[in-house]
Amino acid sequence: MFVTMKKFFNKVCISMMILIMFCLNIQMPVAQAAIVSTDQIIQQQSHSMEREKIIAFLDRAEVQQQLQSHGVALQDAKDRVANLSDAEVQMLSGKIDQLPAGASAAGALIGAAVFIFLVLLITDVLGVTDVFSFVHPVR
Amino acid sequence: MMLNWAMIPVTPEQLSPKLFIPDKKGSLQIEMMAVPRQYGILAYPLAPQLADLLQEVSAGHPVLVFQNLALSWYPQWHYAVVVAYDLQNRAITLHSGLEAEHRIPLSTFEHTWARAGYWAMLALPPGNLPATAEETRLMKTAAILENAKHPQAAIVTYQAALKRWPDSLAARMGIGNSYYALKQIDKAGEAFYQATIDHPHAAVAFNNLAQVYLEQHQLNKAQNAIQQAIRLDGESPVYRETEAVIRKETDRQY
Repeated sequence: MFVTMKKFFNKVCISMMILIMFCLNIQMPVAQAAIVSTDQIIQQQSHSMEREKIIAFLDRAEVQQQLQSHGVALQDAKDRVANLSDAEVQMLSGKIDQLPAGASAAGALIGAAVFIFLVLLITDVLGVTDVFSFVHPVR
Repeated sequence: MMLNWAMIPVTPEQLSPKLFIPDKKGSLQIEMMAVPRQYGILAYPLAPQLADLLQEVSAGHPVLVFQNLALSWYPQWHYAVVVAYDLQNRAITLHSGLEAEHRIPLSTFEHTWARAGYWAMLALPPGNLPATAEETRLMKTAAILENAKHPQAAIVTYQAALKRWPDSLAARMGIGNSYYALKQIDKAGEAFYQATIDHPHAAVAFNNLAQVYLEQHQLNKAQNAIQQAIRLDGESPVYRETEAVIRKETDRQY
């Protein structure tokens, strides 16, 4: 029941957005429409942009939602999505869960089992990994 | 650190809300690419080859790398900056975390780098081209900079690109489009005009030139340019649309 409601809600949302997109397009000044952008020149395509615009629009909402659900503040999430290109938004949409996220400070291996500690210690010594700064690999 | 090198004064505290994802305790590669352009800096993804990475380092460009410091089934994702290497001793020096000079064997680095998909990027001030730059890859990053409301930085990049690839249509058009975005119509017109001279078979150049002529109220020139675009490529609905707008404007005048 909940799932079908959600689906229905999604459908309504999508149709509304499509409608909004079309309205926005109609209000755009005609003179602007005729320039072919650098992006299009590189990709050598100048048609079917309307559909892609709508998809990108929906993906943006999705990515923003995902960032928020991973603990990013509302305004930060909005700003971050606004700063991404359409292609980047497409790469992130629906995949933030699976994508690796790197840290710049070497994080402590909290919760790592002793077994893993030993494995990493050994692989560090062998020079295959680089987890512990006190280990210097054997040559 | 990368941005500081590129002459952008910014602290980790300022970057954190733009990059960090609390639940994942880290930052995504795509966002690492996206942040520099907010400051008008060119973020360039390197080809996944050690040779390219080393070539950039010897050109004096610090390279941001993504690593998996642990194992594929127990990943520890990490960003570091390659600042130097020493082929004789087969060692590489990274700015890693708080360690300014983390020197490790090249082979260890290669293992950790390979496990993160050989991902590396540059952040260069506009006008500095990567030593290993490929035309299409560079044009894509410049176009993203252009669309990210930094057309001025994009222009400098396109101009540098034209010095290396004088026949680049994308660079020439990019200059025109960036000036157009800056509402400097006359300069945009000059770039598009030059594009039609250098690339007489590029319909896009004639189309964009026609649009500029239209906005400069030079309707005859606009007509000629758009007719040439359609002669070169009769398929594109965009050129037909430009033609229709020009015709409407011409009819209104008489």
